[in-house]
Parts: sequence; structure tokens; C-alpha cells
Amino acid sequence: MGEKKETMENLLLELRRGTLVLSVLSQLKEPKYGYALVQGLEGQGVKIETNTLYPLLRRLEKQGLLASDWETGGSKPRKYYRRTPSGDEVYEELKKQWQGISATMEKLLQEN
Amino acid sequence: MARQENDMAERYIYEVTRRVPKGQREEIQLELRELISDMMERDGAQIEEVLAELGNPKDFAQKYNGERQYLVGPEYYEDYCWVIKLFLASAAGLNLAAAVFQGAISPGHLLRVSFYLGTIMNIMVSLMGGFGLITFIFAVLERQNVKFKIWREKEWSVEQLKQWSPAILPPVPDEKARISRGDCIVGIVCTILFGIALAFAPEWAHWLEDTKVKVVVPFNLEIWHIVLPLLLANLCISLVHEIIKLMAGRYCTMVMASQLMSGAADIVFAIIVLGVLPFWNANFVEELEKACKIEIVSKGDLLFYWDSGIVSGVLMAVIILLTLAETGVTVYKTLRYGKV
Repeated sequence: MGEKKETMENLLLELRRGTLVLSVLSQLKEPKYGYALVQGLEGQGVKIETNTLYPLLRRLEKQGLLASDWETGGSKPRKYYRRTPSGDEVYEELKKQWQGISATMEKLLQEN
Repeated sequence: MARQENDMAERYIYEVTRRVPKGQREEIQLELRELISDMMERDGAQIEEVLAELGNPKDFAQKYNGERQYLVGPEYYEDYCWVIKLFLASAAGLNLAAAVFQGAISPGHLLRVSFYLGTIMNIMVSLMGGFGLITFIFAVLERQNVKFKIWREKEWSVEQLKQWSPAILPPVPDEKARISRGDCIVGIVCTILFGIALAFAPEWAHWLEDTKVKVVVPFNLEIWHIVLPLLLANLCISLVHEIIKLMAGRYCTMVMASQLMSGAADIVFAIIVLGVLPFWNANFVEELEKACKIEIVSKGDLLFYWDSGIVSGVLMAVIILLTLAETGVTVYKTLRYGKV
């Protein structure tokens, strides 16, 4: 039983991991800070662990898809992330691909 | 945040940041402070809850470090395995050959347990050392993201699965582009034998002295401990070059690159050994006269003209010219006939 559960969890994790970048990119047309992003995604039913999101944001920034700015005006300094133009391009392409995959999967699963 | 809460948060942050690269520490520290304070504001959560939700700081740090949790990644793995196998096989082979040779010139060794233990130790040490060195080099390449491929992958086609037909034979390389396998093998064997002979030169001399033959060495034995490693290193480079030639079987870019490197090494080593170091035995002629009980005074005697400076110069010039000629031929043949 334990083994089956573990396999199941690993498969789910992999399935979610694939959609994570797309989910994050989709939310960052306008600048957002990390925790607002977690809550925003959770509000729409996408569960993402904070200790996964923060490193992911840094990685996407390093890849040039996101840019960040520290805002020091408020009660505490906050780091805001938003998509760069190249992030926009990648996001549009990923979205198109996702829609294709999603339609195919839908068809595939209905046939069963 | 109360002071105690703040203290716990800082301890958590420290546990994460001490595990991430120095350059990122400060910023990650700021990010985590922001995050924890945001999470605390959410319906008055307790610091313990928040930190428990963030999970083990070690795992958190690992996610920040993310991509590279290995020494040699998949991109280099195949080449890495190939180099390791080639090295381990040749190191073991050379060590064994050296042991056999040592046994042959002084059979007394064969009766000593220490000889066998020493041989096994040598093999183990060179295998482990080489393994470590190669892994280190590949790990550095991986870190620095150096892109290279030892073997360029050939285009794969379904044709390869079909039964043999003349059509799948590769085109015959131009006659002039071929490298004779025989020449390469002779080169490899000579290089290895020469290397072994050099490495055991002191043993040779002792053995000759034991048989009452007088030995006068034209080389400066006082710096032999510097000269020998240089010569052996040069031989190793030549050996690798010969093996590459043998495997390629024809002039191509790889052979040209290897020739350029090995040629450059030859010239540098020749200049160091002959030009910089006092390579020759300064008292060679006197020792020879004493040993043979003769005096070299006649102008018809070749040794009358022995002058280590001139000998070095001539030898150096010959080595450099031959190396340049060989390199020139390789570059010419590669560029002219080497295209696949």
C-alpha cells in the first residue's frame, strides 16, 4: 500500500511540476510579490508550496523570463516580479502548446 | 513580530542561507524575511506554524541550489565514461608492462613479496589518482558550462538497421588522407618501450655496471629527476596522439587538433630540456677518456668537437624542424583531403 501511495504521489508531483512554470508566468503580466502570488494561485485552486515558488521565481529571473524590483516605499521592503518581453514571448508559446496538449488529452481521456 | 518570534525567524533564515552560494545569501535573506512576515500577517498565524509550513530549511536551501546537484551531468556522462575506461585500461596495462619489464631485467625482484605488493599498490594508486583527476576535470567543465563533445554524433538513419548493402559503406577516404595503422602501432610500441627504457635508466646503468661494463653517461644525471618526468610527460602526450591517429585512421579535424597540441608540446619540451636545463654531462669527454684510457686530441676524432651547446642547438633545431614539418603535413592533408 505504502509503495503504491508513494508512486502515486511522485506521479502527481511530476504532473504538477510540468504546469508550474506556465501557472506562474500567467500571473505575472503585472508586478506581484511572492506571497501575493502564492495566495493568488491558491485562490484559483493551484496549490504551490512556498519553498518551491521562491526558488522557481529566482530561476525564471536568471533565465531572463522574469524581472524583479525591490520596493522600499511601503512598511517593509518587497520584491516584485513581472514578465519581461522575452517572458511574454515564451508565455504565449507555452500557452499555445498547453492548449494543444490539453485538447489532445481531453479527447484521449474521453475515448476511455 | 515579537522579539522571540523574530529570533526564531532569523534562525530559520540563517539555516537556509548558510547552505546557498555566498553571492545569493543577502538577497535570499531579504526574500525570506519578507515571506515570513507576510505569512505571519495571514490571520495571525504563529511563527511555529509558519516555519513548519515552510518545511526543513535544508530542503528549502536545496531547492534554491536547484539545478546542479551532481558532479558530472548527463551532457558529459558518456564522454566521461569513455575517458575513464580508456584511462583505467591503459594505466593498468602500462603498470603491468612496467612490472613485467622490471622482472625481466632483474629477476631477483620476482622472489620478493614486496615487488608484487608494490606493483598492486602502484596500480591501485594510479587508478584512483587518475579517476579522481578525470572526475575533477569533468566536474570543472560541468561547473564552467564548457560545451564540448569528444565524439561528434553521426546522423542516424533507418538505413543502418537494414541488412548490409554496399550502399551503407562509408566513402573511401582519399588515398592521401589515410593514416597507416601499422605506422601508428609501431609508433605506440616504440613510445611505450622508450618510456619504459627511460624510466628504468638508473636500473639499466646498475645492471651494466654489475656486468663489469664501464658506463659513461652523456647526460647530466644530477638533474635527471627533473628531466625524466618532463620526458615521460612528453611521451604520454605523443602516445595519446598516436592512439587518436590509430582510432581515426585518416586525417581529420580531430587528428589535426591533436597534432597541433602534441607538436606544440614537443617543441616546448625540447626547448625546456635542451635549451633551458643543463641536459648534458659537462665532464662527458673527460670521463670517457678516463674510462677508455685514451686521450682525444686528434682533429680527426669526432668527439674532439664535442660541445654540449652545439649538440643541444642542433638537436633542438632538428626536433623543431621535424615537428613543424609533421604538423605542416598534417594540416595540409587535413585541409586538402580531410573532408568527409
